[in-house]
Amino acid sequence: MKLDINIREKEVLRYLKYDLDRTKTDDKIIRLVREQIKIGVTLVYPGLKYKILPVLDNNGEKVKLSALVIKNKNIARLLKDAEKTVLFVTTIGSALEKEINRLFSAGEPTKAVILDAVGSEAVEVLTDTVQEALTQQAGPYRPTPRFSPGYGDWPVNENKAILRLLAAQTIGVKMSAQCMLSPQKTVTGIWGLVRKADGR
Amino acid sequence: MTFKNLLRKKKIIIFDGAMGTMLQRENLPQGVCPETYNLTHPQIIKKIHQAYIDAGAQVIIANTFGANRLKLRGYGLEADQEKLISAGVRIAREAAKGTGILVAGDISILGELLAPLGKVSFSEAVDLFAEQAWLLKHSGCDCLIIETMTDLQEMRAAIIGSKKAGLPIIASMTFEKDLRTVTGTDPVTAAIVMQSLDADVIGANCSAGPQELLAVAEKMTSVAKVPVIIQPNAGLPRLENGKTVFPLEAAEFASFTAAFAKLGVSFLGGCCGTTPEHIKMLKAGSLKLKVKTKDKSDKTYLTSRTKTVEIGEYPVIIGERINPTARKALAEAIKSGNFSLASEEARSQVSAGCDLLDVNVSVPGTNEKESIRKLVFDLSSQIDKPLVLDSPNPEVIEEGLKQFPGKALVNSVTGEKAKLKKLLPLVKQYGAAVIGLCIDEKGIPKTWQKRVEIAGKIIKETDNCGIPRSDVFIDCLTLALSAEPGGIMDTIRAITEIKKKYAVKTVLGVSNVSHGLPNRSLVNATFLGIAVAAGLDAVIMNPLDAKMQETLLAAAYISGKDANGQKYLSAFSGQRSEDSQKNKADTSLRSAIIMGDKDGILALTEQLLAGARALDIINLEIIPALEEVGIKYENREYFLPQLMMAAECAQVAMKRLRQELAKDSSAGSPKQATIVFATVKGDVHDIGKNIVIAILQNYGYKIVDLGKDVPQGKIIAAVKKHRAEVVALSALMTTTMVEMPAIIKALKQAGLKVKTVIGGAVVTGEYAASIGADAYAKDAVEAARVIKQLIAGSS
Repeated sequence: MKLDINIREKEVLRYLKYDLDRTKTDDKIIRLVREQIKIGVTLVYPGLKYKILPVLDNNGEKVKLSALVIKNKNIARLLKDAEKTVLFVTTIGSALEKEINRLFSAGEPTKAVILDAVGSEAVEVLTDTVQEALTQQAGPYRPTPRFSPGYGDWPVNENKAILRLLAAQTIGVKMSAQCMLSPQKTVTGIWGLVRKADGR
Repeated sequence: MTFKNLLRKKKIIIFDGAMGTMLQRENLPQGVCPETYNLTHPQIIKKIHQAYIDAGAQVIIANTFGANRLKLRGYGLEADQEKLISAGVRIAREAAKGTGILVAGDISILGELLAPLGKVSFSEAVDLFAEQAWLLKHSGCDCLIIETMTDLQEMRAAIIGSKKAGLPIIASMTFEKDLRTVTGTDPVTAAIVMQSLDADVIGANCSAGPQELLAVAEKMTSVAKVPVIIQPNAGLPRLENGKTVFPLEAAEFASFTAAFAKLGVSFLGGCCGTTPEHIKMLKAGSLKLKVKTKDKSDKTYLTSRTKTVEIGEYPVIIGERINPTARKALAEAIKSGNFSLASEEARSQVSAGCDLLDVNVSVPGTNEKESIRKLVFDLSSQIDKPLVLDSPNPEVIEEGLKQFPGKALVNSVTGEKAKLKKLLPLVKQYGAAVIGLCIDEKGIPKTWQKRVEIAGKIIKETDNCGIPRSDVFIDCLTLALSAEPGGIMDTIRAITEIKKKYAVKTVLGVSNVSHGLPNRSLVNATFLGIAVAAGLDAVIMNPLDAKMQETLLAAAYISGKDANGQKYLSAFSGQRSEDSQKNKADTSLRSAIIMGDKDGILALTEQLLAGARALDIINLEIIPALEEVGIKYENREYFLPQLMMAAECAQVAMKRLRQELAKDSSAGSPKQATIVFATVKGDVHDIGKNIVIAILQNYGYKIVDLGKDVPQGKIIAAVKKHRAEVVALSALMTTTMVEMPAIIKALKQAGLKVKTVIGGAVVTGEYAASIGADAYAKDAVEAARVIKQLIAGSS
């Protein structure tokens, strides 16, 4: 799988609270953002673990996968037509967050906050890329939207079971007693694979 | 016929075709080391050589491709290396007997990558290649061909090792579809590095078919000073019924011959999938062709693994900031083996536009060889600029030259004989360029005539070592204007004279000129402008210095080194309106902070200090500026980086003002309010807290930052110890937010009269009220405002 991290400047600006209509800025600061995007990309060490799990049963209340049971109406609805699901964890590693900490303590908060936004965008793009590639690889399926523990009413402590199932420690992803993921720029979640109607 | 005679011919010289795929046709089983056939099936090997000779090959390649010790070890054949090689060469010699056909010894990849990508060290690789080359020579080869190389660093080791045998060297790399080698080197960079290492012929082989290699050849011939060889595959291989098939028939393969000749390629042969038939057609097609001869290029190039920088008309910038002399933090970091600060310096200089990067790790009491090795590893994977290896110690220079996968610039030699003799052979051996300083045993001469003379001495030695003039940079040395008022123009004159007399490049570090003077940057920039007009090719400077960058642009344009002012105009176009706007804007500290103009801050602070107290400057300039920026942020007129840039600007002023405050405090001024910050236990997301601190540290408060994942007891203890007025707590998640009520309760139980403010992604005003916190802030700007109110209320 080719995991190109193509950072979208627009998205980085959005994380930084840039408002297309109202924000007035100068070249200097935009140049700084672009520089940090370039630097940020070099600090991304993508990690991925996933499992494709068939849906054994979905009664609208809970979804039974081959290795996991999810009791959640919203997810049951999300996976209504799914034949299989992809359970995943993606991360960009901890190098970028170390650099952010260093920049803050070196008195460079501007670069630090930009780099943080680059990191958020990087893990998002990585996850998008992974979703697209894995879906394509799986066959004649289309993906459902992604869902992650902590969104809506899917409790964040579900992460524990997901990480264990995926052996996420092998790519350096850990969870604290308070359910915090580390590295910080890590995404866990699920999406469904729905067979395309025309079979192609 | 010798190889040297071959090089003189104006006609295309034909090499043989594939050995490996021919052996597969002869049913070489999978997994068998092809070189063992030299011993077990010599008649097959000889038959193949014979067929290529009959087809018209003028050079045949012995079957020794994988006969390096490391690769043979994989087959358990390490002990047979000498036998396999001597048999391979002997068979080729027998086939060539009485024909005048030359035999090339074949050398290729070790099968493992070099450090830091793999485990084999550069020196080990050099030894492995030297051993194979020595055995090939003593078995009777006429020349050596190093081919199908995929990594530039391994190619460097192969050439340096093979050179020790003293035979002519042909060096050829393999390129992928994107015209780069597996580890990212482009054909121009490969060509420059290979010829700088003194390969006699350079080129490309394998890769794909002739069509694809035409593009590679075009790029290589554009910079080559030595003959170029191309040996394509018979097209891109594809799988048919489980068998690898090469699609190009002999006639089609040979149809590219004229195109190669036109580019100036003088050696042609075949790689995987080619047969004696292909070579026969190639020979037939080449007979009437003349190789295009071209002017020898005397351009100056330096390279990294993946990029070439030409030192041409427009002066290049050598970033000077990775130098621990007089930079304590960097020296400390290097001393403790931490190179992240140096990497950051590298990245910031590269983004500021430097072309080459000076690397100096001289910290007394450290292992500088170790430091340069690690730093070169880091930098060569993180940035794509050529390095300038800067050390007075030849051993450190050599270590850097070994590890840097490109063509580096060595900084520097002097005119002292002993030093020249030690360093120049290293420069030559590792294919680098070199800076020579106009200084000798007697020190820096005052007159320009003397400096030209020393330059002459250095250049005589570089000539003797075989270092081309285009790879020599002379530094005419900058003296301090305050110490040598009349002597500065001698440096300028020396630049002009040395360029005229010796056709070398010149380089200069300019900042020494202003030593001890006020307004140094004005003097530096002016001197730079004069030096550029005199013909300076490279300037060692701080690329982050905007004034120097601008002066360089203008000076290059004025002195005709920036054709049509392209660089100047692209740098400044559209700025006219901005200039006039700036002139109108007021120049107070307050507006400089609001505009995020960091450069002017310190000067403005000093100006204010001449007539105002530090505390007043904070209250009347800095805090109002930050509050105005805060409002702009809340209105979304500014986005987060602008808010932070204002905080950074304020921080520059505060650093200076704190010195004054420290003097004031002894005179009994009121105690600074203290704020304790913590991200609660179990929570490691502290970016929000850090943003609040970045702003609030400019309000004149004392900030105690306990960091993240802070247990309750530590917070209570800090509040007591510092007699804090405010505690600010942050939490990101519902699972960690629950720490907050416990902390507030404990603070109350301990009888501490401290105000509490809380914030973080999931925290709300309602939650704050429900747990008895004094305040809630939704973001950094609000936190600054709320904390200011809490402190005003508590005093």
